[in-house]
Amino acid sequence: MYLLSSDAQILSKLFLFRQVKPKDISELCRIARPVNFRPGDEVFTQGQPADCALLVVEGRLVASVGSGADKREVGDSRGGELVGETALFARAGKRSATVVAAETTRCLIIDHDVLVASPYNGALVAVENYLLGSIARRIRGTDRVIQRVWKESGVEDEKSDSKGATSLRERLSGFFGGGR
Amino acid sequence: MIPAQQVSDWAARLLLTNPFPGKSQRELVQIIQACQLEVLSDGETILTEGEAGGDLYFLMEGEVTVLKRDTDGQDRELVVMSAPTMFGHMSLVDGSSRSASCHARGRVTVAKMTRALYQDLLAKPHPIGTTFRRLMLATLTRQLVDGNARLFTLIGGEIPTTQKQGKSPTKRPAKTSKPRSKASSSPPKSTAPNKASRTNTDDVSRSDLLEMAGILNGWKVDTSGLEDIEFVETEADRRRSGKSSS
Repeated sequence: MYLLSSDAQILSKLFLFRQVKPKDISELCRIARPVNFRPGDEVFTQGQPADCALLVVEGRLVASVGSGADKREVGDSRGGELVGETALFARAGKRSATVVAAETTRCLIIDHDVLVASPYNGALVAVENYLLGSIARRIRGTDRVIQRVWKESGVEDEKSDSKGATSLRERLSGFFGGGR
Repeated sequence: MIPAQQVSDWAARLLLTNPFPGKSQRELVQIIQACQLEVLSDGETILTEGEAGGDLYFLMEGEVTVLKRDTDGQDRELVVMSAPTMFGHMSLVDGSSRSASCHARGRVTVAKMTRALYQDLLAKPHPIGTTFRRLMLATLTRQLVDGNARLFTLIGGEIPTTQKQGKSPTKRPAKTSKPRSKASSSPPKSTAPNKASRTNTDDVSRSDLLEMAGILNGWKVDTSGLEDIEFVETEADRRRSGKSSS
């Protein structure tokens, strides 16, 4: 019988870790440093260097892009979800969005050292398998938008006139928020 | 049969372009050894766009031409991939059909990973499984980041990353002024024009979109700069490798 820390107890109830042994969840909580945020705290800033991801234990983080009048909310993350995950497998990347705590939030810091320290931990395997699916979905989502813009463009490829081509850029900008 | 040393060198080069925490050349070699080697002649079809995906391929030797059908039903050449790289993985990750067709360009050797082996490797927390899972994550992350960077360039937004890919994390390339292409190290016969100097006011064409779809789907892996780099395993790498194989 394993005595779980409060973080491990919370994580063990999440869908992501439903098949993970308690000792692996405990190990993850031991090697990954916890961090707490108050409502309104800025967790990541768009454009800043990215070197770690956050596993949300409890609470809620909100991601947005742009600033001022152009600021646009692009998603939120709750318990069992990972934020800033591309930093784990991309070199010298930068944050693509600003992330702010929407409520009191507790996270575990997942970085290079955590991945190297315990490469066969069942909880990390669960996180990695989750990431495979989520990154693939993001790739497919972007790809679908591009295909949609392409099919709707109605312009000839290399012969496109400036009006049609601008329309393509504007459509892409509309979907993804360009020109910030 | 590919000589063991050649497989080892191949693995080192693949890890150079797709680095990840705890990367292990030894485990990657074991993964290749568990795959089925196939030698293909010039023009032979490896994958067909639209078909269900069943296998993943590591390109060990030679070149592969990637074709994608456009909305007019014409096959468009996206890129010519050179070894070392992997392809066909997206269909295994999300069960989608093949997003492009692949043909051997000259004599080609591939290591084919079956769906059963793929699922076995992903599920288990053993050294080989961890290496494969993280190789997949590094590859997918790169596709996403490269695709997004290209997208932001096209629409005139801020590029969210300044990644210099294909560069060794352990040794700086000798030449830093060499211009980088967005395709393979050998000149691809891409139909897309060079967009290196694109600005916010430039046009976006359907070729741009086609090129980006190629990047997102993992067909346009940037291996430029590889020829300048000698793979160097650091002490930390060796410790991790030793640790991961125990």
